[in-house]
Amino acid sequence: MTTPIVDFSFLYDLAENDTTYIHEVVKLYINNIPDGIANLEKLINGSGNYEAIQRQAHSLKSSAGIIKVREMYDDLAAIDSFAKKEMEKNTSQSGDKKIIIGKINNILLNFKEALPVIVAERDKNKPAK
Amino acid sequence: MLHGINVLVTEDDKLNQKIISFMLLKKGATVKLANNGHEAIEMMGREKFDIILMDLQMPVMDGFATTQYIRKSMNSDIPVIALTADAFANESDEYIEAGMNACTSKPIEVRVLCDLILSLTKENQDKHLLKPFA
Repeated sequence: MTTPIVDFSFLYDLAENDTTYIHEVVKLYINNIPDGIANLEKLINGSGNYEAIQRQAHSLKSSAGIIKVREMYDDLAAIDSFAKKEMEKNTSQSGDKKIIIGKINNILLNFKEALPVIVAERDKNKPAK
Repeated sequence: MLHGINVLVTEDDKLNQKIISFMLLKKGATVKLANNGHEAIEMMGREKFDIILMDLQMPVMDGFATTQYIRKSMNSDIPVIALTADAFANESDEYIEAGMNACTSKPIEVRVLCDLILSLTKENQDKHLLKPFA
């Protein structure tokens, strides 16, 4: 059986039946996460600033368990860990960036599929005026 | 469950702030938010808190530096729970060495967090009650 593209169970268990709260959290997620992912992609494909890569991946990882997009937490954890190791290295020789390029591409692919589902969830819970 | 407990949540991520404060308010705690360690220290100067939830990686002043400052410069033994995005943080001694009392991983489980808050605030309260007789 395939894992669903998005898992909202953590949020639903927490919110119980508070649809206004669910709407607010999903809205905040949509306002923050896509920009964070775009920034991480830019950093990974850019200059190799591993401190900035680690910070951005770590920050996204801390939100990745609230609304779970398929494989996103594990991909972010791998990027976080790779960047941390690069920061600790004393040599100027960098590790193979292909690994984290693969991870960010997978995040982008899964998130592209997940975003319409997340947007629909936000709209479904929109409070009536 | 957490009625009468004043919690200072030190966390820069707005989404996590919203999740943690909702959890705590639902359980009856009073919640104040600080966006970084510097803000937390300032707020501690103005108000008495029973416990601090401390994110580790934050801009301006991170959780390690903030806790060290609270312990050494403010000479405070307020309980501090580290909040981390690392799943295996419990296996690390790093947060204990910085002066924190416990650690929990995000996304936070309500029951785990409430149990930690209750046991640490009670432990600290008991310690202070016993002090004059020690």
